[in-house]
Amino acid sequence: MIKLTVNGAERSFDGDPDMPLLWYLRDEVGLTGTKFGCGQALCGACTIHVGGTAMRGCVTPVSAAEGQAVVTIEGLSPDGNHPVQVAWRDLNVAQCGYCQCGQMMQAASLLTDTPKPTDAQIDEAMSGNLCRCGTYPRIRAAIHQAAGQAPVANTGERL
Amino acid sequence: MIHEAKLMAEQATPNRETPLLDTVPGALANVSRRAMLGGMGALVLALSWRDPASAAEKDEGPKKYGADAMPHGWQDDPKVFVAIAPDGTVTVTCHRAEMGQGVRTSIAFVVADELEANWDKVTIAQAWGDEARFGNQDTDGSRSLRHFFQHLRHAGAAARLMLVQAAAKQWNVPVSEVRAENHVVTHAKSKRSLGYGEIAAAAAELPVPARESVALKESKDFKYIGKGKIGLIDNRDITTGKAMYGIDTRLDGMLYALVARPAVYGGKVVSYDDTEALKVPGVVKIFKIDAPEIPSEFQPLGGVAVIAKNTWAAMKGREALKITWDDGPNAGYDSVAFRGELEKAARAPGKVVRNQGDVDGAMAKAKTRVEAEYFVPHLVQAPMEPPAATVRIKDGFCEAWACTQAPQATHDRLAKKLGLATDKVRVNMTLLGGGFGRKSKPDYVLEAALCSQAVGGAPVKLTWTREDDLHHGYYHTISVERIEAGLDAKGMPVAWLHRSAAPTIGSIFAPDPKHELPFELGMGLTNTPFAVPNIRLENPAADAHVRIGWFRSVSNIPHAFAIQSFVAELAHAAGRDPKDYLLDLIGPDRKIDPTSIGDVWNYGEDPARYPIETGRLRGVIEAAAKGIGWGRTMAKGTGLGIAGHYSFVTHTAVAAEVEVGAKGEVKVKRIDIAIDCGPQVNPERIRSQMEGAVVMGMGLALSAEITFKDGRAQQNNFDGYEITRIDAAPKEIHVHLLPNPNFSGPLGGVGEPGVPPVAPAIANAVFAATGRRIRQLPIRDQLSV
Amino acid sequence: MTRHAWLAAGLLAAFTVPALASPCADRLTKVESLAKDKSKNAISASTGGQAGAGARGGQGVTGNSGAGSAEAAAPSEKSAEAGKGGDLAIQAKVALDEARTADGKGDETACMEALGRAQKLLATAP
Repeated sequence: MIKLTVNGAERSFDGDPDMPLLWYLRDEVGLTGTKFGCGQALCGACTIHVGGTAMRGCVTPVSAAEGQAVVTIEGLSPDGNHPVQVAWRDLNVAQCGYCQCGQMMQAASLLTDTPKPTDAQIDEAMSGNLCRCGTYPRIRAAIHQAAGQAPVANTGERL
Repeated sequence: MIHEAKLMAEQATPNRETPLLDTVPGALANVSRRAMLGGMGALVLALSWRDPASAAEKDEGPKKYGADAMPHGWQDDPKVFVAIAPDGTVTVTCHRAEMGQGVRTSIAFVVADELEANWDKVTIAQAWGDEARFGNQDTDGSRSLRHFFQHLRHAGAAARLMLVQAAAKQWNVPVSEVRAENHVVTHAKSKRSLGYGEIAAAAAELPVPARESVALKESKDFKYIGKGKIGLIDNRDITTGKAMYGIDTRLDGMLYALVARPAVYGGKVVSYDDTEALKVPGVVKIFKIDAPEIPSEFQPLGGVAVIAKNTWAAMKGREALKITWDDGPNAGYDSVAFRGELEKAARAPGKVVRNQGDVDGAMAKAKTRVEAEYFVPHLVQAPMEPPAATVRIKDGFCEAWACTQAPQATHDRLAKKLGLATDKVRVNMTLLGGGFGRKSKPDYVLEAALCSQAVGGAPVKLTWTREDDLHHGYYHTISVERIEAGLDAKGMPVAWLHRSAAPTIGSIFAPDPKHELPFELGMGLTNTPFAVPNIRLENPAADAHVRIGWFRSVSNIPHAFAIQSFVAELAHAAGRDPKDYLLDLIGPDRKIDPTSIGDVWNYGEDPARYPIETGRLRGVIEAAAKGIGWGRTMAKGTGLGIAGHYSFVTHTAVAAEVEVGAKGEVKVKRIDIAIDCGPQVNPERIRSQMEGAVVMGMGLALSAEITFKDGRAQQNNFDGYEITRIDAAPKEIHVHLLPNPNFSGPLGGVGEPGVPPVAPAIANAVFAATGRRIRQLPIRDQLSV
Repeated sequence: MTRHAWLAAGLLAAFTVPALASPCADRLTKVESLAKDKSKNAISASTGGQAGAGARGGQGVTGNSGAGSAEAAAPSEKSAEAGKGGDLAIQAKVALDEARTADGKGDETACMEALGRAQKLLATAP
């Protein structure tokens, strides 16, 4: 029996301890905000926080999260108003939106570690998160905005 | 016009026992819940649709184009698209698939604007697959606003008129004295007013007004249309993880399935051993799906399906299968070798598809000749959400939840596959985590249906892994384009011969097609708009050894890459600036009737209403060039390139600035993309589509390809199929929207036209930076030697 | 080359060709308007989205039905016709343009041959 917390709630799991957190969260717990894109930690759509660190849920087994606090997009903020979430809405970052939960979780983690990131730091931190729709310029702009920085280069369309 | 959401649902699923909310996940459930809580009980309107009066239903008359000619045409019935709850909440129904192009938001505010609804009180409900009711729902070809803008305006305006009529009736005053504005109907004279919610029930009792009696707004009165200031209607759900995609469906008792499919197109299972697989905890059932005859159109490829209690168990179960395959007739497919076959075909005469003037004579007399061959490999759409679908079959009723671009085709094929009457099937449209053409093919939904059938109709979610998506795709075709020009003393072409050799999309439908179909030719080949007196276009035959399908902007990709690269080569041969040369080649501003140059596709649009307009093409080229600062002195190792292209009845151009490093690494520093798509309903989303098209175009230009060996795709996941990442995306993407204030005029497509000019602009910039010509994609490490 | 031929050779594809004094050219003009009409028919029939367009085109060009074509959204008779129509219209236009070019060179025989080809194609095009 593996015990962990998910978005502050205590959970226990007695299924396959090798099951990646991605599938545990989606199929067992019913939190579908964490997305499947590749299953090989190549796309970042499954990014969650485990013990405060951004990780790829698709290659992190439940057993590795034993006793840890797991936070998903659903728990990133109590009201959906984490600065990253606010900036994402303000700049209409999303197109299809499927990758954006992973993007936001990764961005939130970046800003925790690096509150005022440079473009280069953003690129490095976010390069593991793919977006097939191509929202990268707005992701950059939204991170700067969430960080309280003046926008650099073009920012897409402010609403 | 008020409908009870439950009534609507019951009409579609007469045998349901479970509550509405359980079986309608996602956005529709949210809305339904709100609508139901709003106390709909007293406001039931028996749904009596007006006759489907779309032109498509009429007898043969004048030729039909655009929306009129699509299967099931269009609808503009306000009772179909607008619902108003007593609390004033307006629910607009979106019948098109949302895959990031913002159609849910755009449709909502188009209707809301004409309805004079307060945007804060507007929500969106997703339609299900039912084209007889909603009009055409096949979301591809950059058509949604192009086809439905005016009709949805009408629906909103008709609803507004009904509110006015109802209030006038209730107040016993002339209709002309009543205004509906910003969610309130008012009779100024008697100082009476009612919120929309208060008068909606009465309005719903009225007949829908005759189409001719409904006036649309003047565009100067638009509040939302054309402003570009509307936030995405799904923003909150997307940013909080609540947005529901096809892969997110959850139902009571749902099982999860994966399928092991033949690695080679046309392959089949010879035998399999599921002993170990059945031992995997959670695995419930394993069964074989028969391979189809090829060409397989939209049919599942066959294989062995594993059904389990969760996705992980299904994956482990599939891994434990031992399968013996017969790879079938395409087992020898090698895309490198096949390129050689295409090159051979392109170097010999082929089927002539356009032949104006005397190319052979003019070529023989030309001062100089330039020839080049261009190669574009297979590509795969790879939407971030892989194909996935959930199907349940209960009491002879099949219900599906799918991220589909084509709900009606899905519906029809489910009915046929399961042997059900058409009214025993319902396809619910979820959000799509990207489509790009892959999700127009319902093969994955049919697989889910077979899985559900195999477990007595229990709901089964069928998921494709990324490996599945790359290995069993409907690939963008593989092509060799050979262009030869004879030049006069000024270096301008007097003769132009272009041969395009590529397997056709038609090959998935019928065994014989070896030539590009008219719509593939019409995507940038036959409608080459240059002012050259002698042009011959040929399309040699080519076989297909994989499933070929639509990839965002389709055949425009290889055609534009070849033509726009070749023009830059000609410019160089003439010692001239590439942009000026391109504009000279396009020639004087004029409207070209597509039929006059042998184009019988023109994206299905009336050639009189949608000619090719070289003036607009010039406009976008000049805008992109001006934006990037064309002509400025460039530092060593950097260069500018330009390309302009007509596609989806829209004119686009891209100017690229690249920097090529010492080791040949190509960095795209800046892109200017200009689009002239006619009136801009949602300029903010047009910008985002252009930004996204640039990133997608960069991927195919620089780094992403699918190759085949022994019939098998060689790339497994995003490590092998390298699409653009944020660190490669240019720091600056500037979008230039050419203004067009005429909202009564024809709209051009937006979703796809941004893609085709990207790769040639980048390749041309690379040449400007290095003097090295790119003739094949992706560029990758071609410059490192 | 004759003066007429120079004139023809120098014209841009998009500009209307002024009537040249030859029997073939006279007939050409009439047939060209029929060809244009067939092209417009083909454009009109070619809609149907990816599912429809491909199915119709796939059937029509070859005259065969593939495995899945019976399930195409549009009625199959119309589908086959539509796909065929597009290809026939393209081929007819090619033949007409070749007739024009031949006429411009003063080659009445080649003009009539190409014109005949075009007429035959147009007779079968929907």
